Amino acid sequence: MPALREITTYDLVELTEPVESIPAGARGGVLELRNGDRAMVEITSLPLDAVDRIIFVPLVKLRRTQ
Amino acid sequence: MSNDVTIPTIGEPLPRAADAYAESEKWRSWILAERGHEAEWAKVFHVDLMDTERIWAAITEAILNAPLHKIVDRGQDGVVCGVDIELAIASRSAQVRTSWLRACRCSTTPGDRLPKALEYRGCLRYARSLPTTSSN
Repeated sequence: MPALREITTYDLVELTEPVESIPAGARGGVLELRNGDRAMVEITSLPLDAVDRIIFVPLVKLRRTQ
Repeated sequence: MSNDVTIPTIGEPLPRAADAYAESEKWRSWILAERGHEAEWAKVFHVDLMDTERIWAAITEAILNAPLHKIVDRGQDGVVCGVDIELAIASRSAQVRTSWLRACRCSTTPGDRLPKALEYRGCLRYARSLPTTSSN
């Protein structure tokens, strides 16, 4: 069974759970990793304000899409 | 880098805007990358990765006096600040919406809770739907 690659910076990801007002299924890119367990993500799949699309998400709530 | 710890305020310029930065890797792998915003930059400004320095120079000049339009406190992760700028690159110009993370490294000295160093990290973002004001 192939090993799953961990999420890294600039991966394209999808939320597996809602985060704040962002629904599960929203997609974006990882801009930074923080302390090995959180990521700064820019949501690109929703028409959000430039500020609102920058969110911080536990890695366990993210799934790589690429 | 200055030691100014001015709190961001709506309508005022980004505090310490002259210290703003964005890593070169972010330009290569996100801002001007196919997986990120390459297509939007190409459509609006006709630029690509080769133009990184020119774009950055224009942005850092424009944000010095541009007012903040939105501030969101993300707690321990910092404060995200939105700044709209008029960006001109070569013969093209457009309104560009940028966002900046004001990260805060707090002192580790017991009893001292004042931030001792602040930094901005560009989470550059621009409006894909705003029209250009000139084109060729």
